[in-house]
Amino acid sequence: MGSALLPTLRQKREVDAAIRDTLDKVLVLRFGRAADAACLHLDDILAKSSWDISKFASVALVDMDSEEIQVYIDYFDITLVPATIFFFNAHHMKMDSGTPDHTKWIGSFSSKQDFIDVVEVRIPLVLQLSLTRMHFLREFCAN
Amino acid sequence: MPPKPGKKPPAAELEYCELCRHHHDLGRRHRYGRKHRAKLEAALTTFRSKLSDLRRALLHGSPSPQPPLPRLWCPFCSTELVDLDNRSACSNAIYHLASGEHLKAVKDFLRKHGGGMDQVDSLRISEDEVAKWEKSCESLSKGAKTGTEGLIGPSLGPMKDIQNESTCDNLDSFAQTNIPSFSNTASYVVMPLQSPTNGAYHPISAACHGAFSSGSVSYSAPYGTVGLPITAWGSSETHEQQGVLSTNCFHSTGPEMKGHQSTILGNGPSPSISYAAHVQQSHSGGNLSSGPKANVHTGAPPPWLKANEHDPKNFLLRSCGPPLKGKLRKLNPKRVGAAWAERRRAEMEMEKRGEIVPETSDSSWLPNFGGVWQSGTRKESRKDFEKKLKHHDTKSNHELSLEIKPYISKRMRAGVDKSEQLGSHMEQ
Repeated sequence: MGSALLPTLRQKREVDAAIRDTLDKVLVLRFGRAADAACLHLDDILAKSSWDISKFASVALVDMDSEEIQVYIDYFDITLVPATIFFFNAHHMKMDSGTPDHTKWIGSFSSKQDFIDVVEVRIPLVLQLSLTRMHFLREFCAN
Repeated sequence: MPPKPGKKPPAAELEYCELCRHHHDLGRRHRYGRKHRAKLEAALTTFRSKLSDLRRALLHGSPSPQPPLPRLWCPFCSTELVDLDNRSACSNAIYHLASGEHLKAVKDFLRKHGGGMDQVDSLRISEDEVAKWEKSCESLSKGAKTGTEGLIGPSLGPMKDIQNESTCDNLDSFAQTNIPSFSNTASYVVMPLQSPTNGAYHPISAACHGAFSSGSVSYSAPYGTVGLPITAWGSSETHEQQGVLSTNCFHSTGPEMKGHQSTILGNGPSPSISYAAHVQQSHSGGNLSSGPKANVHTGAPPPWLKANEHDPKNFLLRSCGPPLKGKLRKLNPKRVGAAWAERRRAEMEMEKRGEIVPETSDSSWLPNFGGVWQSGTRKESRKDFEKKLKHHDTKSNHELSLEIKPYISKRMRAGVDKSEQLGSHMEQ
């Protein structure tokens, strides 16, 4: 369901363009397979929350089985699926999720709110805003 | 500073003695106490007996009546040297006991708790012994290799060597037998979690323990993947294939594994976090073992910048583009990637107008300075960047000057100067 609602990238140039051309927004790329159980769960969460975060983030799915995507699979060293990677202005954003690997988030999120929180917390980081200003912006966006 | 003899020392601060396990305010005098000396003697004797066991069993190759202990507590470094019942695994302890830091720790310990410095050699393994042990190890492994080549069942050789041999060389047979082994991990300093700390996932790890293929063991050895549902995926895979093939790990799991997986996802208050911790596996570690590979861990240039063809048919996300047009002015000009965003936006506008923009992606945009994500402050990053920039500038200036000015030897220059001086003198 989630894979039908979100854009799925199958070619390298699509991924290139998504990373390069998503400006001043967090880009969330989910590397995985639509048939995988954990991916299905994550896709569902992503699809449900994509509208909520659409003002400051874009979500796209990347099909790992495409041959062209193997460049990215190798680059990000994706072994476990689903792997979620965050970008901002063509910068790969690292995160400390408690594992030794800070380059990606492995597995699904437990709830929609968890995912939104993870994406949201990136905004003050990348915009280098204080949290107060962030709350102000949030109010501003909501109204 | 030791208190001067004859003078009553001032009331010292409370100190904790690890050996006696109590606090005291005696300062340095404490180590001459009877109880302390007895404890010290006991600790050193215990350690010496363990060390001699280890020496006898491993360095000299003679089997001791009791096998060496799987775990050895080093009281000097306060570390536990974990050894599995494997010859190569004991290397962890041996290398530690021969290391310089152990020597330093022993000296510190003896200085702190008393005991003569002449005991240092009896509390560590010398480098000669390590070299000898390595040689004997090599010869033994060679012998075992030739001895077990044609054997399928239990061989007459030493059992430890068989396991070692099979994990290192006979990967195929190992994958077929599905014997779980962490023997490779023991040679690394970082030990994997031997049992999951989260009680909810015990059954999974138990179910998956037997499912390790030999390839995955050697691939993910440095950080360990206890409880990671990976089944054996054939016997003929090599390490090079591992990166791609292991992506199938969730697919290749059996139905019972999938069942477990779904229980993980729907289980507990924060199941995803424990799940992520559960499947933790550092791929950088894997890469170290499978050779250097250009990826995000090694700092290779990202693939999205390698897009050499820059066709205007590029895919654009439906929701991307200039998203915050009205609020753009309000964005922090110092935000991450602001320069990139501005440049790319200009490029995209030019593309829309039909002007062809030359491909200008180079690696200079990368924040290859400082430690914004790893450590340190932004100020440090800035200093680092400025230093590098200055260095780069001087370098380029130097290159330029070299290009412009041809080399004139000192003698020539001196000759020219002299002739000039002479000329000026003549004029005067």
